[in-house]
Amino acid sequence: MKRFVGLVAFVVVLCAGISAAQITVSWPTADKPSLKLTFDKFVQSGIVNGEGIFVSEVTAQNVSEQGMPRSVFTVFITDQNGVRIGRARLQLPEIAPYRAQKAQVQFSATGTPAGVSLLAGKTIPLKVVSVPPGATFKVDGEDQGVTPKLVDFTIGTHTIEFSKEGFATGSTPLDVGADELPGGSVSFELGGLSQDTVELRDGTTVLGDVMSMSLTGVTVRVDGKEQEYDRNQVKKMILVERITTQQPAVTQPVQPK
Amino acid sequence: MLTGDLVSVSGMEIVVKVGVNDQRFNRNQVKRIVLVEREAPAAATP
Repeated sequence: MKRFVGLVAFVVVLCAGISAAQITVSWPTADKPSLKLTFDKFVQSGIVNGEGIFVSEVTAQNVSEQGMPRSVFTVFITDQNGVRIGRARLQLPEIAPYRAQKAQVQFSATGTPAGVSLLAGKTIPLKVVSVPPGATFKVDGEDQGVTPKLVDFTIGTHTIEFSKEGFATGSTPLDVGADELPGGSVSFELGGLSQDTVELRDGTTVLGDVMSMSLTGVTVRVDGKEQEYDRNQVKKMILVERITTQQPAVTQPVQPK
Repeated sequence: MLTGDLVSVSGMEIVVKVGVNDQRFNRNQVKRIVLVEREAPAAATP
C-alpha cells in the first residue's frame, strides 16, 4: 500500500509538470555580465511523441550601461546530470540599460529539465531596399523606419512588411542562415494599387472606386455596393489611373424607306 | 500641386475652384487629393 501511495505521489508531481525553481544565467560571463536571464519554472504543457513540451517565462535584465540590441539566443536545456535534453530559441527585444524585458521559451525535452546554458545568436546586417524607395517597413511586426535601411537580422525566418502611400502593401518572408554574409540586401518591389484609397479622419481606410464627390459627400463603390460618406469624414483620397476601354462602334442598319 | 476648393469628382473629371474660376482636370491626371474639413454654412437669418 505504501508503494502504491508513493507511485500516486510521483504521478501527481509529473502531471503538475512543474520542474525545478528559477534558474538565473549570466551572459556573456558570470563575473562580468551584461545580461541576466532568469528562467521561471519549466511548466509542462503536454507530451508529443513521448517528449514533454515545456514552457518557461524568462526575465532578461540588462545590467550594463549599454542598451542591448534585439538579440536571439539558443538555449540548451540540460537534465540534473548536465546532459543536454532539449533546445529552445530565445528571442529578446531591445533592452534599455538597467531595464528588464519578459520573454518566453518553449521546447520539447526527453527528460526533466534542470538547467540551461546559452549560446548567443549572431546578427547579420542586410540592407532593406524597396522599389520605389521611401516605404516604411516592419520586421516581424516591429517598425524599422524607411527604406533603404541597414537592419541587423538575427538568424532565422523573418517577415518584412512594406507600405507606401499610393502603393499596395506587401510582405515577404526572409530566411537568414548562419552562413549568410553581411552586406547583402533584400529588395522588394511594391505593387501598384488597383483601387482608389479613401482615408477617413477616424483613421480607417476604404479601398474601392471613387464614383463621385460633391461639396457635401463622397460615394465609393466597395465590392459592388455604393457607400456614402460625408465630405468632412474624408481626409485624403488616392486615385489610381483608370484605363479607358474602347467601346466598339455600334452601327445601326439603315431602315428601308 | 494645386490648392483650391474641390468642387466635384466624377468618373472622368475633377473640378477644382482656384480663385474664382473652375478648373477641370482629367481624372487620370490627379493622383492624390487632400481635403480640409469644412464648416457647415450658417443658416440664413430672416
